[in-house]
Amino acid sequence: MARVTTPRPLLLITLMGLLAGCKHAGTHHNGDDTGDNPPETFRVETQTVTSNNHGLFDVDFEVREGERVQIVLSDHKNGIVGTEQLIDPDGNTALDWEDWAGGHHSLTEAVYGAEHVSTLNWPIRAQDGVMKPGIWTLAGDTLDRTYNYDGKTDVDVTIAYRKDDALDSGSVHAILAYCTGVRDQDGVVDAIERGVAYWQELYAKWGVDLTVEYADIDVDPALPDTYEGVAEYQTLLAEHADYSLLMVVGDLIAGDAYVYGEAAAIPGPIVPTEISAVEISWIAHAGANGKFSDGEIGILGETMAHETGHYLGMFHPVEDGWQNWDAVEDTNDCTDMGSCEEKLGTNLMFPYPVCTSMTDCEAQDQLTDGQVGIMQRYVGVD
Amino acid sequence: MLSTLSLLLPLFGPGPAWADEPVLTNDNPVIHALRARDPAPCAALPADPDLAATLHAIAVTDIAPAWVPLRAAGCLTELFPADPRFIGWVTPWFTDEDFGGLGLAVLTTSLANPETRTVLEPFARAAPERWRALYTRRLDAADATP
Repeated sequence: MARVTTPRPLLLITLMGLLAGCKHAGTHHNGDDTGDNPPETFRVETQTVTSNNHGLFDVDFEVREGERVQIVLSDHKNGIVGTEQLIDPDGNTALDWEDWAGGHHSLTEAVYGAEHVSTLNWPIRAQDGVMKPGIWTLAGDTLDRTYNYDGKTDVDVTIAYRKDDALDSGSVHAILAYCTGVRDQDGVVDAIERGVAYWQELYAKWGVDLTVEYADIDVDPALPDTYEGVAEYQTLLAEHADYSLLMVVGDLIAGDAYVYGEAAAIPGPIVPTEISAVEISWIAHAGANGKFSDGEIGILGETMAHETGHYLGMFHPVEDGWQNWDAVEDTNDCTDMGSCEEKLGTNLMFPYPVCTSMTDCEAQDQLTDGQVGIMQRYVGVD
Repeated sequence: MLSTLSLLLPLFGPGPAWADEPVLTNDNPVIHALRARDPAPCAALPADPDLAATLHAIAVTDIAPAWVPLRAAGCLTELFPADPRFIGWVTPWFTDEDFGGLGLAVLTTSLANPETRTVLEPFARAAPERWRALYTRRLDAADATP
């Protein structure tokens, strides 16, 4: 099916106009086989497009045999940018925002639009198939902060391609960066490293070999929300030039002492941007006394795995309220707290730890095959 | 500074700080709400006969995950800063090192409320060394924000 001619009826507005042609401001390629660039199975292209008067734009890109892609959109007005449709080389709609934006199942945040940076990884699930070689088109939109279409906006587009047939094993590299002063807190480094060891153990169960290197980042440990962006995140990642996940450890997130961790988006971008990070609060895990118990370190490791799980594309299998679910076929669509805790309570991506007493919570160390498939299809996992 | 605080404390501490504490159980709906990985707004917490007292009781109880007591302290500060029990409840958290995380939750939440901040800031700046640096950094960052 070709792209529809009805523009996106946004969350807060009425229809705005008809589609029009896009303007491609230019294309260049990077990511070859030289020097520090990614291996041959991974390549990156960038281009800049400009949305038309109606806030719509198209991005064409060529997919080669066996590749999957991640498209990262970054608008120049610091407004909202998102994906409306993904069209395959035969003109069929592989993804349509209207199938997901108002429903009870979540597949990708790309269709909701995001402030400044939006990421689409494709395919996401097994039933999304493999990408047919040829020219694909992403139909996107630019909006202002009140969700009105906002035309004539330049959008930087970064497309990462991964050629990899093995969806039962892979590896991912992460940089764990301590904010200013965090290393000096008693017991924090030891707890973080033990949490990382558990995170690695969990990911190994699902066929992902996680390597972690440690770094420092000169950022106030009272971290902003990840989606607000921090310039130093982009800088640190760009210096490494190896397309890593970034986990930043601070005191607080979003001005609260009790936001335990936050992923920038579902999925998050594998390329360096200001939002390319998962943030972790050490205080939220250490609690009132600021000292880590063994149980708290276990939850810290699960938080690391849970938040990076979001970054790799996984939603909660069910949201608290029991009326919204992920789009994974083998996670149960339970409808009340009791059955959800029974069927999904040990799932890594369950929305809260299930605690059998005031101080003891069940390990959340399970994923379904469908969830593992999402993780393995993330372009940053080779 | 400490002598000033000693003078202030009796004004704010009408009787034992945790008299008439609610009895908590693991299935308490407020605890359940605070356990969520994506926290609901404090204003959306479940109804409770004495939510302030319940939040205080949760804050001073060892409850997993560790963010539950912290969120309780934050919500107590956001929702009930004018409760006559509030100051008596929260000021010990700034002086007892084992409750310093609660002090941080209270302090960061109070930054949005100048009156509460004014009362709490002296306690924060006189806190044990381990926490004082964190408190001071938050206060200074708030002052530096236009």
